[in-house]
Amino acid sequence: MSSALHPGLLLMLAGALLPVLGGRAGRVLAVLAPLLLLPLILLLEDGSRMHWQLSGLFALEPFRVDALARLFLIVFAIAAFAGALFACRGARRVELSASSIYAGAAMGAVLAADLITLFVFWECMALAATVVIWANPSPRAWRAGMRYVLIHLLGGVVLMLGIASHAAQGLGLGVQDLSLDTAGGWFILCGFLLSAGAPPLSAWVADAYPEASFSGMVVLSAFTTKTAVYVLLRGFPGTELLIWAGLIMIFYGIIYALLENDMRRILAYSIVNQVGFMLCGIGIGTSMALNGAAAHAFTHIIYKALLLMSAGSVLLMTGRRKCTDLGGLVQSMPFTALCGIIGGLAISSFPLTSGFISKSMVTQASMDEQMLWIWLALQAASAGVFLHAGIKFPWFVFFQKDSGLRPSEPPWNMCLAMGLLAFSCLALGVAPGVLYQWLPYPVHYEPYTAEHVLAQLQLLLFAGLAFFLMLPWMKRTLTISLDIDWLYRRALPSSLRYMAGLAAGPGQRLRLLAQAGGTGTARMLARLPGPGGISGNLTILLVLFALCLIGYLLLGR
Amino acid sequence: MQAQFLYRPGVIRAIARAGGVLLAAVVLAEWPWPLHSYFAVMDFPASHALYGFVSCLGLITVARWLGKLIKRPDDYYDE
Repeated sequence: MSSALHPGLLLMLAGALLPVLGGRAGRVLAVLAPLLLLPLILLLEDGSRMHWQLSGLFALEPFRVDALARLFLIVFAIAAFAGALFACRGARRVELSASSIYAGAAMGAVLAADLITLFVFWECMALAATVVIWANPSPRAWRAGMRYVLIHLLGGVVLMLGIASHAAQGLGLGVQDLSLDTAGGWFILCGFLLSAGAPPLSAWVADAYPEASFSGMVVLSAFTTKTAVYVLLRGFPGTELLIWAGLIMIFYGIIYALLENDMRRILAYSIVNQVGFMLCGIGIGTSMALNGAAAHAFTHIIYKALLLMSAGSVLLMTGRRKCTDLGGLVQSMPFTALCGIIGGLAISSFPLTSGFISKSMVTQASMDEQMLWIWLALQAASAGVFLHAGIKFPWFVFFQKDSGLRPSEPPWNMCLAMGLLAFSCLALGVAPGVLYQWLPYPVHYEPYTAEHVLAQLQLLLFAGLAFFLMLPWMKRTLTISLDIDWLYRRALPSSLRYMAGLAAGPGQRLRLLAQAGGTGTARMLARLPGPGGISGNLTILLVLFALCLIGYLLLGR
Repeated sequence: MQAQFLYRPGVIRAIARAGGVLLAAVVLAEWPWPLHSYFAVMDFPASHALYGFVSCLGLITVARWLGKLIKRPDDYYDE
């Protein structure tokens, strides 16, 4: 039976085979594999296919399908296909291979019904994503990838602490049995939130993703944060904390994107912003809100990939990424500009685009629950999305001043990928029933009422007016904005260097720690080479500490 | 040519004018299709237009103010 095949493992296998096949065959496989998986996923019937009872209470259930899992599998397959089509001619083979493994691992995490299997796929995703970043052969990408993997390994350790604590207390290991009544539940929530880009550690999204290649960021935007949304939907629906975390993410994303000059970092901040809407929906927790969060994850993956393809095409054809260097590209790249505009309209939830039919469900849920302040915040944020992504990205890249650049349209495979996703954004907006039928709960919602369309148009068009009236204040500058990552990129290394300098002079950086700790581990760490630097080595130290704690929890019961 | 077309002053003026008409249209459309807000505070004419406009002014102002504190030259982290 075809329905017994695990789509995630199949895609990971395809990714592993890809370098062996080499050349054209490998590139064709990268594009075809996710496309061929799509009918397989649509045919999957609900239910659990594998079940291994471990000692005592614990059971592994690596392959369980229901409506929510199917929804995410479908959109992951679409994202993997479109991303591979976009990348297949220009990207390095190692990036194509890692992208397939990454997408397959995300599918594996979606199908996992127990925390152990989830953890394994979770870590595979972190490693594969790091390779995708490193596939861009630049020193900046190397350092950003190192920071990315350290942050995510730390997140993995926090997650494992929670799982181990659950196991030690004899609680079940099902993804659905989570609660915040136990310490383990809190650790697991923190591990999930870190991957969702929640505060305080949101900075990794805008730090790492934009350093990937022109095609790498398209793939990266789809899986890690949305797998986190998926597990939060499963494990913590109706947790009020998520509403507040979501609102912080929403406004953090808008403000930082407004300040940003790098076109792909603008879009990275808007990933955090959009995931914030999903977290709000999960926090509200009614069936309308959960449907909204799931639907928004689906539409977001598609329009964000489209926006990043448009930006990636500009990056490939011009070699520039800063708004201050770009402008006027609509003259020679009208198709890329059109796709960017359609993506911008969709992310802003304009009527007749996919964002309108999904985000509206979250705001409707806040209305139904009479949450006035949350509704007001979501409305202000919707206007802000148009401001920071819907207009800002297309305006500064394709219009504004004429930069004098006249790049041609990208190769046909990239145009085809953009065209398909742009069509999907509009088709989902025009025919919402296609998406609504896959949602986890029955949908009783009609987005297209005269009142709703009119209210949304008023909100967005007057947000646009504010943008153009305030344009002098929006002028781009050659700057970045400090974030929490300043602590581990600047403050921590400088203070350690200072302390080490006091003790041993320059060049013997961690000697002080080694002497203070008196342990071989610290001495070994001090000698470790690598781009992670002192803060990287410290993270390894933290990881080791956490592993000791896990051991203690497991053995000390 | 399309190139110069979009950047001609006459065309820009026309686009701006069309935008103004559109803005007026979505507000005046409340006359035949009155908006009933679920919340009493938002139950006045052109409430969504006003709210969208004001919240964006607020966001841009906050961003500008915060920018003064946290903006750094873009080679800040380069070694």
